[in-house]
Amino acid sequence: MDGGLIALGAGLGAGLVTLGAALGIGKITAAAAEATGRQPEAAGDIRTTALIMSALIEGVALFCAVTCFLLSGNVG
Amino acid sequence: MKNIYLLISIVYFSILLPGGDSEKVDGDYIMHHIQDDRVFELFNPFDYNDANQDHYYFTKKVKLDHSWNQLNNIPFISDYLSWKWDPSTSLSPTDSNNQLIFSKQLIMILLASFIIISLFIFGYKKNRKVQSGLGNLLEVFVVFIRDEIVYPNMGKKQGRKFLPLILTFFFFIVMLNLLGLIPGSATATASFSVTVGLALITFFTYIIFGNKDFWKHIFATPGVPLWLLPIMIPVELIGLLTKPFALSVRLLANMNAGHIIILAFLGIIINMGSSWVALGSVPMALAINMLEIFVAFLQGYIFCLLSSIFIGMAVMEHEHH
Repeated sequence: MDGGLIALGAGLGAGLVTLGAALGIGKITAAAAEATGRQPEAAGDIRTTALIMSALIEGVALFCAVTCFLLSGNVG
Repeated sequence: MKNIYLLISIVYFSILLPGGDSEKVDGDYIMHHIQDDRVFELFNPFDYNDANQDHYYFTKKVKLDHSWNQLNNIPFISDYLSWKWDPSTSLSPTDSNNQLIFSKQLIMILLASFIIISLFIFGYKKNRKVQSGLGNLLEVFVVFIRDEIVYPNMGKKQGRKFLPLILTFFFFIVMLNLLGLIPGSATATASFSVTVGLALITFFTYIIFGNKDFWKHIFATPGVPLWLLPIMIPVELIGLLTKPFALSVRLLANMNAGHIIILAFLGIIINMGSSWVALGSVPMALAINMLEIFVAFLQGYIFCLLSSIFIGMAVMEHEHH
């Protein structure tokens, strides 16, 4: 019973975290695309900002991925 | 050129893996291939029937054990050397003192340092004002970091003091990440030791070089009433500690995740047992590999950017409000 719950928690956690990260990066991309459409000469700065923020969001998502890995080591 | 796809399909399916063994690619297998190890597994195209009896086809295992130890054969120095080579090939070191442990990741670190040093020695010609060739390429990276990362965050005077540190971080991390993408080698930044070490360097830098303003902001934040200080001080101290933690875990997790995905995709072929899976699985692994090259540079850039922001917050002089 314990092992099953741990596995369920790890898998569900990883899926939810992916959902959150994808939503966040999607919002940034949408804002970046719209801003580039409004002012094409600022495209370079917008691209740099979008890239940095995406990497930071991905860092947060990978914290939880590490937690899920540690959890899945306790299964069984 | 029209029949190139037919040719590629024929090449894929003519190399039939010997089926029938019960070896599956599961979590343990993937973890074992990401972690540090004392054995290099290199691709040997002549090992089609496991002639060297190492239970793996097409591989040549190079064990980093005491047979590499030639330190005892040096005539005069070996009496004075107190570092003795650890004789085992298991991952956990033996309990003796005086051990020199050579593992895959340590060799990658040494190789990366050697490559960086030789690149800069042979690329930078001292007598010229304008570099050409290799020096020009290296100068693109150096000027990019100097003008986009260090000087905007630390100012010109303090930035010049910390510029060598940030440049070393960048080239070290990018070279280690790129070397890890070669099949058969290890990624040194995919272990706790290297990333926590690098993050601790940043941590001690901004503790040692912190201004009086910086410490005043932590222990007596301006504009905060006195009764709120017992809550604010622990919060600020924890904020000091999470920064290197976040730096190290971000780099570690990004590097590990890429390798896990590649191994999982290629492991589906072995788990399903048939070769037709390779049609879909190998292009996906190739695409993830391309993404990993980009992530290698991006993670190095993010590490340097955040380090210079943190150090800049600690050493820059603020005008008083």
